[in-house]
Amino acid sequence: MQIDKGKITAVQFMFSVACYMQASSLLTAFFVGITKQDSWIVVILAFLVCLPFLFIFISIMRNFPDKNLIQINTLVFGPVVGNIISAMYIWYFLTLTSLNLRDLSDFVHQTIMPKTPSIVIMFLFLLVCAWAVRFGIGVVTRYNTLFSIIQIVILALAVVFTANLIDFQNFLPMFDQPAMEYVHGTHVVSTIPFGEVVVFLMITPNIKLPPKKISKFFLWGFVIGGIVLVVVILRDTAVLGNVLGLFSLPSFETQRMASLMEALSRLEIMFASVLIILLFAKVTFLYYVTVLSLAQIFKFETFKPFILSIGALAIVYAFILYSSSMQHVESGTNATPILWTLFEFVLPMLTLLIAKMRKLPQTEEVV
Amino acid sequence: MPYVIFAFLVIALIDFLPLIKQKKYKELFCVGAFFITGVVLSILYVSGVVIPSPMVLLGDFLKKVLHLSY
Amino acid sequence: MKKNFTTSVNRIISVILCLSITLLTTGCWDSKEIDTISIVTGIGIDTSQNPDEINLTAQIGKTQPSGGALQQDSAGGDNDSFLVMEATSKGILSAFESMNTKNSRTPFLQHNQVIIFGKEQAEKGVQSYIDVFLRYYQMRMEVWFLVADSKAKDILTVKTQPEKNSAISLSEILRDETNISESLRINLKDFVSRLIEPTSSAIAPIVSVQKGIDTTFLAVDGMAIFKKDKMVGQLTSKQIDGYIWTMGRIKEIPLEISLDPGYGNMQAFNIKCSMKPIIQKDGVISVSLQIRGQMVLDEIKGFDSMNLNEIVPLLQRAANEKVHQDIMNCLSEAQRLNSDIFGFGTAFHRNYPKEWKSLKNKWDQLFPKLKINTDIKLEIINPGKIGASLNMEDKK
Repeated sequence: MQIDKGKITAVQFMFSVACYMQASSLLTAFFVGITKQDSWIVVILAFLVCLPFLFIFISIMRNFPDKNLIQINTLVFGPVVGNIISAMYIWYFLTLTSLNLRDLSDFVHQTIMPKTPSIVIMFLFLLVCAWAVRFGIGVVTRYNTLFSIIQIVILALAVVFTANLIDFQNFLPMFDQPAMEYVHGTHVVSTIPFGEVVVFLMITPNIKLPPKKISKFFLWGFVIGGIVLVVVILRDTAVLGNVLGLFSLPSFETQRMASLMEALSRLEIMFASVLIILLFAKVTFLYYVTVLSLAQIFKFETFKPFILSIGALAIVYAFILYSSSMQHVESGTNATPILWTLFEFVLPMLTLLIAKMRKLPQTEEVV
Repeated sequence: MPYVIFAFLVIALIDFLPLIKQKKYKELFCVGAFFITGVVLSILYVSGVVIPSPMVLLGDFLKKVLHLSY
Repeated sequence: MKKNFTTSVNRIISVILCLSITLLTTGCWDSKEIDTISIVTGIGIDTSQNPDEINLTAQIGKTQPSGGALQQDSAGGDNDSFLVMEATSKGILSAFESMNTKNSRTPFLQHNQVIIFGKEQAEKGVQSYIDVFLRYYQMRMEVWFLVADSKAKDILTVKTQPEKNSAISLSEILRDETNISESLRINLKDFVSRLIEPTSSAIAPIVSVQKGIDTTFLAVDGMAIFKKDKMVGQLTSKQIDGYIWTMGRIKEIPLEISLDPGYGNMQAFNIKCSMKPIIQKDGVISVSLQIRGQMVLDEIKGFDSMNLNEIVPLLQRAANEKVHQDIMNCLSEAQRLNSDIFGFGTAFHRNYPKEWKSLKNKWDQLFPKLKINTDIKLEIINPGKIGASLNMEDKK
């Protein structure tokens, strides 16, 4: 039973995945403090580590083409355990929504509008997101293609504008740090930007394409997002060098320093606008997924009554989650990767294994 | 504080009236549960009560009980 | 309630909603009108009588009234394009706040051009006051970092010509310096980058006030050498030449050669330098510097009874020798002060990461004994518009 009957095309899906991952490319403070000038190596490693899990996600999507994650959980694990796991996933989606909302509000509050209270920023932003969510998946993902392409264009421009500040010596020495740092960094990057694409399992029934062909688009979206993240890290490391680890927003500082000829300088507004646009896409999508999963677990016909209440809850939750952005970064490097591993890697693997064991895609009721 | 209460009243108005009219009591109950949670948490937060954060608690749990940390 | 969107009541409500939302996009909570901010163009930090405190000087640019005629500079008059405010405090932002009480406008720091530390404060240490320039959101990393010859306040109060605002004219002087070399100016990010490196020392240009015929102007000559965050010495202009040759980012530089037979002035350009750290098998460390470039003859004096074919190799040899001497001069000064201003330590760290672990702690002993091997080849490719000089005309 499908709550939202909207359909999105495969290309829209691909760019949604890319846009979602690109939104995290601007908040790299979590791992640059750990691996400093080798951060780009860690990003590539995390990309490779996540690829098998991406194939697990694709397998799940292929095996259950018209069911979203909550329905899959109920089917595979049985009603009781399935509902418990689905409830955990709902908490995960809600936390993700609030975290990204908090990131946006912190950024706007600290750099652009220091006097405006955060609640006003969050409220107005979430109001627009709620408006988009109300009209279903079509509207939520409609502009993601445009956003993704805008970010890629602006990234290319930013690289050109900071080209005179790039010093390739800043990447040396390579592989100089203890191995544990690389493991830690890879873990952080694979769970926070890359692994969060598990949320796309919630919109499997909405994609207008036979399941066999989905893998190509999902993979390409992931690749685009990964490439963007690597380019961002490369540019920041090349420009900033050893001061990279000092800042909480390295990409912001890089673009502040851009000055190609006297006229083209002080370009951090590009970073700010792209951040807001992409975070809008990400928060809207996460908001939609949270509301949809709630409606699914309670088996309602529509998710519309939930939107505003969950919105209010998300805002309050965003304030409660961390009292300061330092706590956010500290938790992001230590606790969050371990927690997210459960939702992004362990549970999908278990789901696929049990589904295969119970031969679920073929017949409905085999015990 | 008055803004918070006003905002939640508006939310209740927009969300609950259609549900009551369509007599969907199950939905009303569920939405109401989340609504009440939101109201309670907001009022607590605005009054200055420190609400423990689930992420921080889980992080501490992982670090101290399970020793699973970097 | 809302059954059909197209009813006229719903349309009117939607239009009203949209219009009221556009009111929210003005962001007026944080609006800054130009006549409520004072645009700080230069910040100067000096010591004050209390060792815990600093004297902060802020140069604030005045926005010209529109359509106003150019104002004449009357003697001691206030019709300049900037005003200077001072405050004393323990920290920089609290100094700005105490300035606020005397000023009707809030300071706007995003257009700051320069940060100038007075000489005394630089000798006491700059690190304690740099934190705000990194942390406060209005500060930018590309401000130019300078040390004043005496007090920063003197630099910021000078009325220069033609650019009346002395901080802006300073940043333009620095921009002109890059026609010679990028290494002659340093922005905050590079300065901090060197401060963080455990073995490198930072370097900053020194600015002084000089009196001309009937004006005072600012001169950027000399560079201050820091060790950790305290200023320990200065480089003379010959040593500065050596510094920029070693750092290698030169666009064009004049070379003046005085020999017994004559005098020559050449312009070197198209310069490519490469610096390689070398650890030899017996553990001795050295740096090899290779410089290749081309020169053009600009001016010759003397050289009687010689023709061009004899002068050119003479001048080339002398130029190579001069560059070598300048580099050695600068190196010996840096080694005397035990400050690795060239970043050799970082180069070793980048190219020999394993050996660096053992070298790192001994760098203070290793650096003074470091040798540079130079391989300089500057060639004169163009003798200018004339071939033989006037006094060589009839001796073919």
